Amino acid sequence: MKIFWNFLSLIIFGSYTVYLFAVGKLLFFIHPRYEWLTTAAGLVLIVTGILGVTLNRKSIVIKKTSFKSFDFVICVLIFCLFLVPVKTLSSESFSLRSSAQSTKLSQNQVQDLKKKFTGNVDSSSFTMYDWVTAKNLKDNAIFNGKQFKGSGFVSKAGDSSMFNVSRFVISCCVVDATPASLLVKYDWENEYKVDDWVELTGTFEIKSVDGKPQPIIIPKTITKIQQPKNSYLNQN
Amino acid sequence: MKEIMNQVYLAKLSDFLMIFIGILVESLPFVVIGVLVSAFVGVFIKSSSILKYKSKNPIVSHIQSMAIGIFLPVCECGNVPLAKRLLLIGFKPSEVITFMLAAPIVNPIVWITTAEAFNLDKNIAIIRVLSGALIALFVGLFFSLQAENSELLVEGNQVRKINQFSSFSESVTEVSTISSDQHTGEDTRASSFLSIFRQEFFSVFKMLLIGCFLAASFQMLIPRSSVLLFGSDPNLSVIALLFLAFIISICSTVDAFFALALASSFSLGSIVSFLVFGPMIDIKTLTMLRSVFRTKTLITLTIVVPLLSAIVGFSVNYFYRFNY
Repeated sequence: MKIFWNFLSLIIFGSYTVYLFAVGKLLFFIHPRYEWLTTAAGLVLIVTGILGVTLNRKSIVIKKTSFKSFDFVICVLIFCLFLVPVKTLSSESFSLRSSAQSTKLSQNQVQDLKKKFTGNVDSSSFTMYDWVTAKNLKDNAIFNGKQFKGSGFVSKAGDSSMFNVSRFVISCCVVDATPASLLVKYDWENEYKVDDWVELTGTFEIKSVDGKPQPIIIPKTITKIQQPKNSYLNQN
Repeated sequence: MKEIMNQVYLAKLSDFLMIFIGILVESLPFVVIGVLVSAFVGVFIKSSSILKYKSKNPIVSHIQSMAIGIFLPVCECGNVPLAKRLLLIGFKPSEVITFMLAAPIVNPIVWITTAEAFNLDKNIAIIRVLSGALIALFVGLFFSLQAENSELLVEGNQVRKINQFSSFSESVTEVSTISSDQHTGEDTRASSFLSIFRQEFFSVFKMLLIGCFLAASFQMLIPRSSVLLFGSDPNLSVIALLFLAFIISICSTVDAFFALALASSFSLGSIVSFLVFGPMIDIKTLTMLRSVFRTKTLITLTIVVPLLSAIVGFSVNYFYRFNY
C-alpha cells in the first residue's frame, strides 16, 4: 500500500508543478530560467507515478489501516498544496529582508548603465529592473528629470506623504528574494493599501529625504492594477 | 487594530507558505535528476564496473569521489540520492561525505556562475572551488580515520546492514533483497527502475519537506538586517555570512548572484566563506542527509565544515586586507 501512496504522491506533486506552469504561477516561486526544467521534472513525476501504479496494480489492496500510514499523510499534504493561494511575497517580507546594502556592480555593468542612463535618452522604455539597478551607481544626477513608467506593489516609506513602489529581485527562487524600491511622492493612504499593485508614470526629481538627497518619483498617473504574472524582477 | 494584526499574521503565513513551496519547487528538478541518475546506475550499471576504477589508496579514492562531482551538474539536493547510490555501489561513507561536500562546489555550472557573478575578481571562483575541494577532502579523510566507517550511517541503513555480513561491494540486486517492499519474482528492469526511483525519491523528499519547513521558518523569524549588521567587521562578517548561508539554503548553482548583492557591505573573506559553506551544509541539506547519516555524524559535519570555512574566510581577509 505504501507503494500506491508513494506513486500517487508522485502524480499529485508532478501535477501541481505542471498546474503552476499551466496557469502561469510557477514564476511566483522561481526564476524563469528554471521554469522549463521544473515543469519537465513535474512531467517525469507524473509519468513515473502512472507507470508505477500501472505496473504494481496487482499488488495494490486498499485497506483501512493504510489511511493511517505516514505515506498517506504525505500524499494528503501534497494534495493540500493545491489549496494554498499563490501570491508573491508581501510587504511583511519586505521589511524582514530589507537592508541598507547595495549591489556591487562589475565594470561592464557600470559602463553599460552609465551609457544607458547618461545624456538625452528616452527613459520611458526603461524597466523597473533598470531603475533599481541604476540606484547602485549612487549617482542621483542620472535620475534627475527622467520619465518613469513602471509597476510594483505599495509599501510604506516613513510618512504618509510618500510610499515605495516595490518589487522583489530574485536570482534563484523566493528564498533569495531581495527587496528593491523607488520612492514616490504622493499622499497615498486614503487611496491605496500596502501590497496593492500600482502602475505609475511620472518624473524623477532629487529631493532631500532624512537629510539625504534621493531620487523620488513625482507621479503623473497612478493606476491600480492586478498583480502581474511575473511579479519579481529577475537577476540575470 | 485586531483586524490589522490578523492581516499581518495572514501575510506572514502566506509568505511562509510561498517560501516553503518555493524551495520545494526549486529543488524538484535537481532531486529528480539525482534520483534518475541514481536509479539508472542502480539498474543498468554493474557496481563492479565502477569499483574497478576506484583506487585502494584512501587519499586517491577520496579524490576520485570528489571528482565524480565534476561530472554531475546538480546542486546539493540532487547529490543526496547519488550519495546513497554510491554507498550501495560500494563507496565508503567517508568517501561519500567527500563527494557530498565537494560536488555542489566543483561542478562546472557552479564554476561558471561564480565566475560570471564575480567577474570583478576571477580569484573568487578559483578560491571557492579550491578551498571547497580541500575542505571536502580533509573532512572525508578525517572521517575515514574512524575504525568502523559504517558507524557513520544511520541505523537501519541498507549499506550498514550489508556491512554487518560482508564488504561494501554489494550489487544493487543484493541490496534490494534487504529492502522491505521490493518487487519479487518477475521483476523487470523497468519495475526495478521505478522501484528504486520511488524509494529514493521519497527517502529524500520526506526530509526535504522538513528542510523546507525549517528553512522557511528561519527566513520568517530572523530579519536579514540583523545578520547584515555585522557586515563591516571583518571577523564577525565571516560568522554572520556562515550563519546566513546555513539558514537561507540557497541552491549552489546560483548562490554567487545572491552573494554578489552582499559584496559591497561584506568583507571578501566572508563572501568566500558563504560561497564555500552554503553548498556543503545548510538546514535543508542537513535534514535530507539525515536519511543517510547518523545525527552524530551530521553534528560533527556541522561543527567541522563551518570551522574550516571560517578559516578560509579569515585567511582571505588576512591576505586581501581590504573590504571588497
